[in-house]
Amino acid sequence: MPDSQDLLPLTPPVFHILLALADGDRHGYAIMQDVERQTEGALQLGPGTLYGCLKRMLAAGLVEESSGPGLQLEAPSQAAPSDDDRRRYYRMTTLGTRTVRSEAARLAQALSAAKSKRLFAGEKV
Amino acid sequence: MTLARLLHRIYAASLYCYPSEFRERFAPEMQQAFRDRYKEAFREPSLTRASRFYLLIAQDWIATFFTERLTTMPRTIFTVRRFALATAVTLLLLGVSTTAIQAFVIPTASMEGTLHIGDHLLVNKLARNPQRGDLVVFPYPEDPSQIFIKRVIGLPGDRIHIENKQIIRNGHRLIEPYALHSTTYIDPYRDNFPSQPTAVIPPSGQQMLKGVSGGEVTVPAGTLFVLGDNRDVSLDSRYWGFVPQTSVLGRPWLIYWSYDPSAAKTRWDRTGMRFPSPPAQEIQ
Repeated sequence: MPDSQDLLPLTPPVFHILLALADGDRHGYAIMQDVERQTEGALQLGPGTLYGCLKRMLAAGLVEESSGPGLQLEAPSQAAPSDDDRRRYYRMTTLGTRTVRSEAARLAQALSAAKSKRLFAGEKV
Repeated sequence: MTLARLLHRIYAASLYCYPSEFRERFAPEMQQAFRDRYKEAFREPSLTRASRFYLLIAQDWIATFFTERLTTMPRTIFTVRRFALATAVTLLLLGVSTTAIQAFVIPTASMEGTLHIGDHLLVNKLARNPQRGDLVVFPYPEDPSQIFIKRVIGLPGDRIHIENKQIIRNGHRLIEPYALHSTTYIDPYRDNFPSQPTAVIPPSGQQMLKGVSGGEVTVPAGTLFVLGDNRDVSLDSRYWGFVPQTSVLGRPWLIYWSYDPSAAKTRWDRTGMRFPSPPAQEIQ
């Protein structure tokens, strides 16, 4: 089993794509929307960026293709059925889960280190 | 065709810039994502939303097109061993070009018969120990910025004089198959050498004439006596003296291109020609 630490640090797109898949299987456009929501519009993934990342994440074993939205997922958006045929869904693997957890922990540690330096006098972070 | 369809077509066509493997796997999904995004951006007419959409797609395309192209290049291109090999070959070629081979072009007719005007030569710079009959390349002693090519007639210790265009070396007449005579006129200095000069002789030549004894010049140690093959027009050791052996740049190796400027044509038959030293026979 490859070590999740080997892949750290993750690039922001990869990190947010993994977060988007934490709630369940999603197709490409749903990932884009979720990433935009997570970052409040700061990170907008174009198709090239998204699928470039997915290609590398598939190769690294962080995600895998899934047959479709899991039961736990809300119904796919109001898109026409013909659109849905083209869509492929992606699922986070166990390695993906461990990796995104390690990355979040790493970021949390970095954040607490920054906080201890009194950079945020008077501000609530 | 609606604007949406047109844009979608353009985007689909632009996907052909990605590596084929990537395109074949992801193009349908990327087109779908594009369509979804497009629908969202144009849900209500807003110029800001629309321009933001175009900007995002353009940025994304440019950035990822390069990334995908680079990452799908064969890995071997970037291996350390390949890099080291390429560096070594480059250095070797640089080294060869500066120490072993140099290119020259023949601007005058002084070697006519052997070398034509417009012959482009590669000179073997490692061959610095010429023998009698060899062609040598060297800087003109009176003006080292000019590079000359002549034939070695005398090595250190050789005694040389010329009688009616006939070279006599160490008492032996030379039969020179390479020598060219353009006139039957006998110049009292050029063709009966050494004697009272009929032309202005530079200091190095006068130095040589001071050493004449018994009607002959004796080639000093460490120098060469050289003559042009076009014997009646060549300015050579008869006029400006000896060539220091240490100044010799090398021997011509081959003609890589021969261009006839008067006919404005390439002389193809001379390409690749070598310069074997034709033997000059010595007779009593």
